[in-house]
Amino acid sequence: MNARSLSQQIILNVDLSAGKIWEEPVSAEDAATYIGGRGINAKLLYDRVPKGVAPLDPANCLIIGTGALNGTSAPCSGRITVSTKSPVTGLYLKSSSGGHFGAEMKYAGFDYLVITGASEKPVYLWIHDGKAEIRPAEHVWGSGTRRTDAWLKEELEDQQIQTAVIGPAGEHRVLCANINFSLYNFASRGGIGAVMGSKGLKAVAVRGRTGLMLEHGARFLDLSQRIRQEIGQDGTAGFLHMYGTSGFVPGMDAMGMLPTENFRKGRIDKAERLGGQYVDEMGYLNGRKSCHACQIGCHRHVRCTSEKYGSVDDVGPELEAVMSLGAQCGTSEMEAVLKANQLCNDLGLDVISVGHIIAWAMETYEKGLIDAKHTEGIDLEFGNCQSELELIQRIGTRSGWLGNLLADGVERAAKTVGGDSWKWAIQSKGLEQSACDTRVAKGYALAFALNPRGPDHLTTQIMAEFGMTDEAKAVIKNITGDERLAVPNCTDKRAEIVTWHENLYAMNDCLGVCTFVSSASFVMGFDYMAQLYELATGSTSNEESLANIGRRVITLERMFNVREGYTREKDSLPYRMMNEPILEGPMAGHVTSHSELQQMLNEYFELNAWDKETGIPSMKSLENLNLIHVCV
Amino acid sequence: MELHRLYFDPENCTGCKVCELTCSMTKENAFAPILSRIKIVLPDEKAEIVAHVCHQCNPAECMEACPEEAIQFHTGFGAVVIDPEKCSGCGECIDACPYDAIEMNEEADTAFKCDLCGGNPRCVEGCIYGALTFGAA
Repeated sequence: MNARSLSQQIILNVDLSAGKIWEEPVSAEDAATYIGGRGINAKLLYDRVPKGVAPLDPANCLIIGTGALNGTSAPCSGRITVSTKSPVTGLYLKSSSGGHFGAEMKYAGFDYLVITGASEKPVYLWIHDGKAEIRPAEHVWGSGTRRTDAWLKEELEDQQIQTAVIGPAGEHRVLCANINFSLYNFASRGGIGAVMGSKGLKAVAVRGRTGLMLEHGARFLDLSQRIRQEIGQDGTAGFLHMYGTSGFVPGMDAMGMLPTENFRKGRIDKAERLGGQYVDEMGYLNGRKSCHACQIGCHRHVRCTSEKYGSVDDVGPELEAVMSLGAQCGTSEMEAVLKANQLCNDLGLDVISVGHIIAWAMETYEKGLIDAKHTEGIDLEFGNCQSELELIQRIGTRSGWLGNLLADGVERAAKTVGGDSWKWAIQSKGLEQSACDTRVAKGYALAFALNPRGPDHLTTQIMAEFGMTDEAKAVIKNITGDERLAVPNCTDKRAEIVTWHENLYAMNDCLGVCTFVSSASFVMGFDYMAQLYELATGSTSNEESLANIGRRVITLERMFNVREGYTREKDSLPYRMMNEPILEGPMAGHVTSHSELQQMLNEYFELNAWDKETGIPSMKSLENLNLIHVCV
Repeated sequence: MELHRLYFDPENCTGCKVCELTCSMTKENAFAPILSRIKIVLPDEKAEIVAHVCHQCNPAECMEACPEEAIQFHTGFGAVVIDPEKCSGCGECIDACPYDAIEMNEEADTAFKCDLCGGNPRCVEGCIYGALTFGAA
């Protein structure tokens, strides 16, 4: 049978400038040190993108890394990592995506795709059955992601290929452009799609027929099945399956923690219309979909026709989309949000950034720093959905003065507009913050400040600090000894909680396991991941060894930034989160002050042996993690 | 003899592919969806998801087409079973099957299809979404 060992990982290198393609194996030592996915990606990025490389220069690398367990029966093991240097922050960027691309890439015989250089003419990569080719993509340059996916399937005469595509946004090097994986999934944030666009790379298509052999495959399958049954009984997993991620909206609004109008408020009128429950009740839900081997099935497909906004037939919307495109822009009209989400999906735009960029523009317009002259006629009042839709289109294609300005993100836009507009640019390090209220959720606040790519929840998912379930409280008790610390507005022991979650998430990303099964539902933690990894590879593993590898990856990512000149001053939060509280409702009056943040950072640096003054990992911490060679 | 078969409910299927992974590991000792006896296919984005898997027909066209008498009913648990020892790899059964449920293992040069795992189909156990059930044909 045509099968290969899961443990023998292969890197496929593509130099688009020279038109060269070559393979190399991942050494046994690197596999033991970094496991896979985000870990190996981090090592490759550190080694191959030296200090000072401009992100949109051909010398930057774009790395698609499969999780070590992609393509197996491990529950929820469809996650891949895409890594590069970000054009919006100039710093380390890892993005995550779900779906079936990782599995298919492994079946095609490859575990990592490292793309360097740039093609003068638009091209796509066709990777199949152990081979790879660079092919012309002029016919689809300019097309949306959906048309491109369909074109590839026609061109390659195979409806079962998996695709990674950019839309017009990536082509225009919009700094919030993303990469779309087979319609449902996106590697987003930090302008990762712009890097792909700068390389003239429109798409990657994969298809494979090689199987994966494991050290103890039958026992691995049995363990997968037992874990699957536990996930099937889990309340959070069940909730996510029923309502999707946007199912959390009504609860967040009730808590006064639904960021609204650019984080000025914590609630919005008729918030329930932004929830997955409403999508279901209104008959918009057309299907519940899973990533590879996933037991939760949180993806949605929706169909909706409204008089005001026309018809929608697309995937989603996810929680961040309904928050950033909905409440943050002052609307709870789901029909408008569905349209906005579809536009973003097709243009290839990160919904988190786009929604928050438009919210900034709306507040700037309200405060009179820009007017109808700047907006070229559109009325940018909060809640004006038609204006929002028009602006999304302009951002995605860099059209008009405002569209082009906003395409570069809120930090640059605020610099150009001037006045006090920087105060309501909800960004740190140049990246827009995701819609978690870090004035109130202190663990998230610390995690967002430390996240090497900028302030969001996709390096450390600390849902446990909300203490919403018994399992969540147990996690906090396990880490700190005290389950009473499972409340968000508490700075105690956040260093410990964040460190543990960072290590866990890093290991999720190395293995390709979804964070939803580890830190939203808590079924598959370090212990199960260690058992699965050991059965898959024969490599002895336990919680400690995996947490240690997670810590190594986090530290290496930090050192990439340190090499670029990063110090603790950049471990910060947006101005509004630190200075301007919500004025009414259950969460009124809170900020995460400068001194609170510094206190939490001090404790984190102490715990992880990073220098307190500079925030640079100490020699001792590097030695302990076998990273002394990255000392700068 | 009572024949049994697998039933597929597309409403409950999320496209996770656990059934394919379970089948190929059980039958071939590898995660190799290409060798799974059940294939979950989305013909295109607008279509409904379908499962290509044996319906355990009676009479079975594959059985009638086979020149080697390699395909027989297993009376113990009521399935239509290919004996790989007798299979010559001619492919007549594949052409005869109205459900695209039989494929060729190129390397072994024998045809393969679902044999209901001796009466306890593992894919059914693996599908927590309830898209697969096992019952009388």
